[in-house]
Amino acid sequence: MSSDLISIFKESVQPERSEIRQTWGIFWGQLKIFLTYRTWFVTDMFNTIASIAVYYFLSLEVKPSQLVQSGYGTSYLAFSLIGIAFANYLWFCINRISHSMQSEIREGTFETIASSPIKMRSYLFGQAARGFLVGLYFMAGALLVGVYGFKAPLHFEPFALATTILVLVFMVLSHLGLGIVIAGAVLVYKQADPITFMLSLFMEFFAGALFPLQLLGQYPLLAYASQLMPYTYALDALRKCLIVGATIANPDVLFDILVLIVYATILLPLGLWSFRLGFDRIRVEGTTSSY
Amino acid sequence: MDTRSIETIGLTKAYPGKPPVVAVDHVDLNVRGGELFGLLGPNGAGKTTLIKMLCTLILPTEGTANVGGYDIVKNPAQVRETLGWLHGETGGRALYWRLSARDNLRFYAYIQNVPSSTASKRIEALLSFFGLEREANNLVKDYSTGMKVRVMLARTLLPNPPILLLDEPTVGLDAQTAIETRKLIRALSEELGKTILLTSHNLYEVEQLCQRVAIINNGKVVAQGTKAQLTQLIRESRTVEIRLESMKGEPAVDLLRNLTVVREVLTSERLGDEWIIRVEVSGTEPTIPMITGALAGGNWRVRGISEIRPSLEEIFVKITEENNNVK
Repeated sequence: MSSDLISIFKESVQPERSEIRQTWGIFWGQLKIFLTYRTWFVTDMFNTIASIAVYYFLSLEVKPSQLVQSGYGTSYLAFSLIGIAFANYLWFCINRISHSMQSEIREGTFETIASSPIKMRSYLFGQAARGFLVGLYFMAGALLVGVYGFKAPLHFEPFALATTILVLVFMVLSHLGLGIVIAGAVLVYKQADPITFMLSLFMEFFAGALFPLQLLGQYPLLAYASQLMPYTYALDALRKCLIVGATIANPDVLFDILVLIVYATILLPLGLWSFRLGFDRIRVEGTTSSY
Repeated sequence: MDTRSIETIGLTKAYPGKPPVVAVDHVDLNVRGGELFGLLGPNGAGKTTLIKMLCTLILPTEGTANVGGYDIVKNPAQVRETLGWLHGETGGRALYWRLSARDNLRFYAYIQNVPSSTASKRIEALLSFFGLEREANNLVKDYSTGMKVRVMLARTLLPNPPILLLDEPTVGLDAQTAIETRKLIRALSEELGKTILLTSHNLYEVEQLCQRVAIINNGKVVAQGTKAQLTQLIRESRTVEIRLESMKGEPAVDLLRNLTVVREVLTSERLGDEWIIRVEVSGTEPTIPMITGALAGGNWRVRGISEIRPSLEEIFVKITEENNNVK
């Protein structure tokens, strides 16, 4: 019985060392696991739609003139829909990496990964790719419900849409480093939910997910803090593309994209470095399987 | 250096704390290429820490270790490619329970750099060998513990690494699968030349499979060698079994206790019309004629008397007990 197996293992095979293939493997496996949580999949979409409905009713109370001043058209619903849909998307993606890390440690699979030849960055990018793809489902659902269910006036012209996708990519890349930092914190502290919750509130507030940033003008310190958030630039570009149909030719949008590229260039290596520190620390403490 | 060997020199791990907790204390091991080597130790002896250091999951505080010729601290990536680790004691916890057995293996093939065509062939052969074909597409969460351990074994073998660290490979397996798995482990060593470091609480398994054994206790290697070499270490105390034709054994036990060569009466029990007594004897002089003579003098009919070769289990218990007493 074992002789058949032994003969297969006698064949000489060259390993296929490809980081892209490793990343794809993590993405594929994690996506398959994720898709088994059908109930969660449906209830989360319901929560997204419910929050859009809340903002629809809020929009009935906000004056259009306040938004026109900021260059985002006249619809508060469109304004807040983009703010919330993309913020949810971003936090869904960022949390996915740390949540996956938590469950991998709890279930003992992290040690299997960490003792395999996979490069940690392939593992993290694979995890992130799964989050960003699944997050698209919720974001697209929220936008469609907002546009067709609550009549939010968004524009989907081809060039504006192409620019939106470009902004989305750089928004993701500029925040991926942050997600990896949090995942590194989970390795060491085993828990990061309170930090991510606080960060998400902080970022949504300072990036102006629900109100135009001009309102912060009377508080210079807060206005300055808002300028430090990469999400501020992503949101500005996304609103200009989807509400007023701006493209990459628009200097404001181009500036926003460049800022996001700078953030991605700084935060991504920083995230990988801090994750490495966290990984080395648990190797010293011997807590690769503690949770 | 042999690209399939495992060598540790003064390997030490002290976990941070006040005071630091020394889990592995200056361990010297040399597992030769192609050897099936057993690592034994009571719970908390430091086996898991030692294995996790070899897997590069824990950084040593002192000493060095080479796995397949690669330093575990300087070349962790190469070490990870060289070895396969089965942590069977987790009872299948280290699998993706929401993936099927087939998908778990496919996932592992990706992260272990196994080319897709090779992976498919090996996955089918492994599923077949471990009797998992029928349930291969069901989610692992619905598997029994034994099935999960079989998936873990398949996963460890899938990349075909030259060095295997098998931690409790047959725990939770039914008798038939455990026997087949032991045969496979032996074949992996003998036919494919794999170096295998085996830890198990089933000492019969270690005795059957391993050429050499190291006993670790309180973080230190307290004995190392072939079974014959380890037997020599406890040679000054041997066990003799005496079968008496009698319905009453207590007077014989008293008589034996008074003999100078008898260190201790270990067991005394009736079995049918026989009384079986096991005694621990000391010294190197021929004890059997002395015992037989004494019993004959007391008018006891001896049906049989023989010296029992200690099992690995007895050697293990003896050595760890002695080590604990010295401590």
